[in-house]
Amino acid sequence: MELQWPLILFTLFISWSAGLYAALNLHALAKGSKTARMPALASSAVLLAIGGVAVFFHLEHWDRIFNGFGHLSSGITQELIAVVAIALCMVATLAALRRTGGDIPAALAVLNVAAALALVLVTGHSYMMSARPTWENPAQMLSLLGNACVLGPASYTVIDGLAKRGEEHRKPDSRASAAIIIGSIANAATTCAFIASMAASSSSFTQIDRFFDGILATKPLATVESYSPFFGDALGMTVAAISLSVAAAALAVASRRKSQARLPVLAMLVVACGAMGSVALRMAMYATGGSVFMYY
Amino acid sequence: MTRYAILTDLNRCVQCLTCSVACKMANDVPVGNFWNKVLRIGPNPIPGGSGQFPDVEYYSIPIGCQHCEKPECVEVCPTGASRKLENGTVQIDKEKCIGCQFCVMACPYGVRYLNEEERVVEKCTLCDQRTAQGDLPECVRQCQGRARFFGDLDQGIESFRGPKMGPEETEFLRVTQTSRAWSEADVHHLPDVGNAPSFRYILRNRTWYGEE
Repeated sequence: MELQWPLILFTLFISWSAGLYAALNLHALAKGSKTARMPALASSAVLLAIGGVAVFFHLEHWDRIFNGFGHLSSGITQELIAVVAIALCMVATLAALRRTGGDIPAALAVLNVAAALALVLVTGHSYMMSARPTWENPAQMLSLLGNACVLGPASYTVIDGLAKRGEEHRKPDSRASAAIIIGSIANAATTCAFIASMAASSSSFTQIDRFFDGILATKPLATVESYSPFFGDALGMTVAAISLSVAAAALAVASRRKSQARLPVLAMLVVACGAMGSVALRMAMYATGGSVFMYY
Repeated sequence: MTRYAILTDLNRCVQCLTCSVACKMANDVPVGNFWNKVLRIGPNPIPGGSGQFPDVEYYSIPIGCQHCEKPECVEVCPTGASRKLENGTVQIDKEKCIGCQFCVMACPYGVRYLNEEERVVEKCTLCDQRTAQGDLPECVRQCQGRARFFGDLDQGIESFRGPKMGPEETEFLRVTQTSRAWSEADVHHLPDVGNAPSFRYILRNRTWYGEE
């Protein structure tokens, strides 16, 4: 399948936004510093908006956007509901931050984390199609969650560092560092799990030995190998996804015991590796996204 | 309930591609899009043979929208543009389609296409403009090998009908009038991943490739 760039960017920014939003609320639940909460909320909303704009480029008829979205079994409808739900949560959080001077009520914070989790899982679920064996696996959904886990805490640490510029001699924030380490390791694990599940799905493709397409006679014949993450065009994407996710985890581990001034810099590198790894993984997903009846 | 479908006697199909061409002409299918395509399966070794020519066999199979009982394309459509009608066919309301192409991804058979001019997804309609008036889909009507038959699956595939053999006032011929007898084991369908394809294929004395 051709690379669907609007959808690749949509999933990246949705998981990034949800990860950052969850990190913000978990930080609030852990009674962390209030300095970065408002900029983190704004950043999360901007990322959500970028994802929303990106996905519009996938639609052929923007003018008909209000035609429906009433079909609840559709993953797109479910995504829209989840996006609207988290947007409403963001508005409520903004109101709470303004009213309390930086506090988020615990109940709202828990609700926000649940909304972020739901958004990521719903987004991943909309790609669970029995027609696409390499996608039809919980590991595909979990890989988006992994992306959120690496991008969220690291982005929050970057924003926190920017918000606290001039305080270079503060003690290292061990909780922030731990969150980045856990998130990046989770991302590396889910990335590898999704790639392994793609590779393992080869037996799900229909195989009919020799065939000839009389309609598209010059088109290369489909083979199961061509939908392997370790073959052809997908190989480079797979290698990039694994390398970048492992690099993010290595950088996260290296962030331990670094000074508070160095932590945001390393977190920024983790974000860069995580984002590029997420894009590479989604590229591999589309490259291997052949139909179960792969001959047409 | 009615379940309109097409039955293809693969032992009669000669891969002349007339069904593909007739479909394109009848439905004004854009260049590069095919609502009906023909795939040749084989040549594969005959079981128990030498593995070399002439111990080989092949068959040709026309493939289009299978008008599934549980169509995934309908499930994933956000606007309800893709929908299942009471006659069992899956149709697209082009006025509602936003061109998200999730139905294209969800279809196991690769038979949905984006019409780049109209920017909507299209596919086989089972020639509803004809069948609504009691006629046959154009691919059935034009089949040179009398391999294609149209009918209601709920009435059994024996009730399916193909082109006439005489003047216009005669009746469409039943599959049993033009095709040789078949057994239940000879009746196949394309791989089913939960979508329950409605189209049926008869293949006698040859190995069906592609698990069901």
